[in-house]
Amino acid sequence: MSSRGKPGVWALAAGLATVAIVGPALSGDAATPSYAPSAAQLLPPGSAVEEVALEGGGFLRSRRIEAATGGGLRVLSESGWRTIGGVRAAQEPYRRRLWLGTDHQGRDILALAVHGARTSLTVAALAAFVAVVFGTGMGLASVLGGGLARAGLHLLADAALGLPRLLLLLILAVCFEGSTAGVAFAVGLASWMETARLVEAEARRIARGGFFCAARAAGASGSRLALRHLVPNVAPVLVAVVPLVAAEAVLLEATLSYLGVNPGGVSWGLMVADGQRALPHGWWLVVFPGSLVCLAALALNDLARGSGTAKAA
Amino acid sequence: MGRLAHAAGTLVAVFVLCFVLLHAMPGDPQDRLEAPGIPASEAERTRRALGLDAPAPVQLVRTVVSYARGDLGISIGRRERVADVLRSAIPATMLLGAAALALAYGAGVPAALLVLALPARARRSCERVALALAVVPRFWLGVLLVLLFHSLAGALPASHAAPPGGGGLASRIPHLVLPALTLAIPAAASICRYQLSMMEAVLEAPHVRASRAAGRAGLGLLARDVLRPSLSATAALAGLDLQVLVSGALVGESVFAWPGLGRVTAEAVLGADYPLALASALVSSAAIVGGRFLAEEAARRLDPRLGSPPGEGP
Repeated sequence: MSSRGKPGVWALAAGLATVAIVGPALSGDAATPSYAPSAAQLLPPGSAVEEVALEGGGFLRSRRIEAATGGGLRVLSESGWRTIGGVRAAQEPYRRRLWLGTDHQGRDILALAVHGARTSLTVAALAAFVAVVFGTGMGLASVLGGGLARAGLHLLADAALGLPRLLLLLILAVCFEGSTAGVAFAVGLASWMETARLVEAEARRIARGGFFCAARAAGASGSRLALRHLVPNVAPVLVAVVPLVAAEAVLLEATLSYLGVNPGGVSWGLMVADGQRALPHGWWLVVFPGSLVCLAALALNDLARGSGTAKAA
Repeated sequence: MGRLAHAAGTLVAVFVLCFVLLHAMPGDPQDRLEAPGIPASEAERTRRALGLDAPAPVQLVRTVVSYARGDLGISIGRRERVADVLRSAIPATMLLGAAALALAYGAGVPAALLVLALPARARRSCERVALALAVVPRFWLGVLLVLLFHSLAGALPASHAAPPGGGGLASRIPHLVLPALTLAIPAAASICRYQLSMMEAVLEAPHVRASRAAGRAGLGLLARDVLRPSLSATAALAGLDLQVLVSGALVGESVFAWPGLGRVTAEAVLGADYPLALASALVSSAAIVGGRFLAEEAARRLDPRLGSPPGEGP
């Protein structure tokens, strides 16, 4: 059952990460073309278009583009050739193929998806970090703290688990809305509970060990007990938990942005929500970004199984 | 009795947590309602009328008192009594949830049985598919189903619980299909995976070997000797599945504009409608905590070994 022997999973995860890091620089502009005639909108996957960057920023995308004789540019759209005055091309128009088509604003789906990868994976990584740090802190505090602290922390975890996770997340996300880091923080704060429980159980087991009692008897401080004796010993649990939390975070972030919480950038969930509005046409608007969410979540799940079997089996 | 008290304590903690978090949201309902033309004095008057000018602890006490009197307040966004909103939303969600739960178990358990009867290699691929179906985001699954069955096939309606102007039961069922499938497919996949792992464990048990020796084989053996002993654990999971279903309803109902609790809750939170958000969150939470409590009770009844109180087990 172990997927540690499967290079494919690691390749997929590494590929997604690479795309998220360097992709936006290579894939071109995800921004709306400054002038997108109807001929550039809702193009099916594989359509060929011509593009040209404009002087003073922005770019133009249509089926064919030519310089007009009296200045300006001539573009070919469905209704024939039209002249756009007052714009000057910064270079020769070039032709390229849009492998995933365009949306109803003429934006390139591939470029959007790549920019979305950056948002989604940043949120996932940050959220996993927040959840694991917060969860570990809570778990250790519950082991080292007194009975009252323990009861309080348990009550907080119970309350957080007593709400639907998505609802807790929705409330938190509205508090931190508007930036990628804020949404990541919200996702992390909605996912720490399981980590806290795992860490607590493991730390409690370790705290019964002889070396821990010896350290405590020798007068070690709480922070020394936690950092020197507990954290290194619960680390294997954390290694197994991080990819799982990240997989969940990818799904949660996509769902949040689908529901209308602004993730501070292009996001796969947002793309699906936009695509749904244009649904009778344009299946590619919803199929591609959603598949990417699934792919990322599956890859992280496999990583979790790979790193988990080493410990749990 | 301790368990019941624990469940009740959890609900109180949920209430306080929700209240604190809702009030930590930037801006208050008045900001979100404010139309550009409303003068500041008018906005202030509304704020006072809604009791939003008081400090948060005072508001908390006031809310507790009015809840104790059975008054859930008035929704700020809908200008309706919260109790009335919930009264119309809860049955819709229960209908959807019951349909989804029935579909999920109806498909998940037989699927596990069939998969177990497959040769090892095919079984691996089926497990893979089940994992993929279990992680597929619900909103996307919903949109895909709309794409397939509404946009392309034109067979099923894609939103709302009834045709415009209402209608009899027969005209409502088509509206139920896609939302119920959206919630049921991932749940069925997880049930299938869980049931499969339970049955794989039972497969090693001595009574199965004895049955094999007695000449039973194939699906008959699986259904009689493997499925039955492992079914109670999966059935007890139904209480825990409520958490997944309630969470799923939040997004599933938003995809299909289903007039249920999930959509009401999502709208109330996004619109900072404190009274409605608080009450609907509490209802969802009661379903989850209650479901978990019942699941534990059921598991304890079915398996006396689980009798020791939580936290003091081996």
